[in-house]
Amino acid sequence: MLNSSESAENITIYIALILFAVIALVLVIILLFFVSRKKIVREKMESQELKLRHKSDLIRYNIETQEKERHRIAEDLHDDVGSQLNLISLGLHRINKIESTLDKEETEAILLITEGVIDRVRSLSHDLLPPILEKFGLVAALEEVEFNYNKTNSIELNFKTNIENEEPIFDVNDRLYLYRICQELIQNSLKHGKAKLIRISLLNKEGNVHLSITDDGVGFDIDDLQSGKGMGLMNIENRVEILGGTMTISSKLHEGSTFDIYLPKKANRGKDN
Amino acid sequence: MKYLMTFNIVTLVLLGTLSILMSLEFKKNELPRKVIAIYLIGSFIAQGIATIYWYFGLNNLTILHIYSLFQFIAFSAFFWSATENKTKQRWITVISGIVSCLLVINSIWNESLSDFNSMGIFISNGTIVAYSITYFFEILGANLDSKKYLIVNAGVLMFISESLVVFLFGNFLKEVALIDQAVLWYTHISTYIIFLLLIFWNHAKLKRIG
Repeated sequence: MLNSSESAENITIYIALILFAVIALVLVIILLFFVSRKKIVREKMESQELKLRHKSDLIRYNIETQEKERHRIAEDLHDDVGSQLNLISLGLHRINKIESTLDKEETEAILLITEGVIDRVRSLSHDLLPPILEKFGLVAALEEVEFNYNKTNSIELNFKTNIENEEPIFDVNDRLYLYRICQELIQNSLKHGKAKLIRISLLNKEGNVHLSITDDGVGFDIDDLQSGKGMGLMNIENRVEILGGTMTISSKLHEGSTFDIYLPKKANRGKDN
Repeated sequence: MKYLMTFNIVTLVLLGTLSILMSLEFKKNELPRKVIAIYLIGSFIAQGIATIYWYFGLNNLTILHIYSLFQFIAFSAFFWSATENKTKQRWITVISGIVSCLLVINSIWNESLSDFNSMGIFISNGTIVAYSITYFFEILGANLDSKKYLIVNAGVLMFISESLVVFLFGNFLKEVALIDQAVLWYTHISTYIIFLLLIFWNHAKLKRIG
């Protein structure tokens, strides 16, 4: 029992001191927690960023290696295999013209096969690295694709562009990557989409590029993409990522599909990587 | 001491407003926020009655016994619903069940209903402090913008720890003149107001995140 006001006051002071000590302790704990949390989250984000950067570097390296290898194979096919096949063909022509103990029909058959192989090698070499892309640029290469498809296939391919001078808009890699993206998407439309009509538009809006590829194929359910993407689509995404662009896909079953790729101005392209 | 009543009324108004605000979107809110809304309504009713008792000079400590149990169950339910760890949920269920039984036993047989239930509050508030600290550890690595109850938890830890000390010495204070204990009750009410404001802040933040 407390008899004097002095001891009552003392008790209150002690309790108040304990109370403030507890509050201070709790505040320190909370402060420490917030500081540690911020640090942990920052470290986590840095590690995630590092992983992403590493992944991106790997993808870039992979694609660059792929392109170098394609380049080498295309050159080998054209310069080495192609020229040797041409020599064989010329030789067979010459043998055909002169009197020979060889069966003429047989030599003509070999000649025919050789010329077929020459055409195949040329076409393979062009597919790997279209000379027109290097010499005349992306627009000319896509116009050639349009011409070839409309000439040889039972599908219609329309290409439109507002680009007249592509030098200030694309560099060598941009052209090659965009060309590969178009190649892959056309193949997808034909192979999986069973498309009869493909529209490609390549538009330049003050340096920002919009590439759109639409088809009238069977389309697909966008939700299916969440469960897993094919190698082709991943390749396209990787190339768009390397270019620093974005891609949106819209499609519905039996209603075709549209791929919109937006690239920033040349100066900002691929900066994130 | 004349300001204590004003302080109490301000708290009640704040509590009432917050209860209405959180009840308005009751159905839309996720379980932890529903539990907080129920806790706020319960607290509003209990504190309203306690204030009336106090105003008329009646002993309101019986309400404290009931309120302690309600508060413990509400916070246990909050931490149960806020955690994503199933094992922790099982532990909370078991521990809360045991502590609730102890609280009832304590109020019936141990501490008088007309006295502070210091022992009961020590056990229940101590358990809530433990829940709160483990919750802090749980969300240590979560994203900064994640839908967590970080702010409410900070408020719970601060308010419950403070209450633990105040009510632990409650029966000593009965012997002390009201004027001498004023600093403790002002601190208690201030902490409670901060706690309510933190609940409001967390609610507003979660509403913004959507």
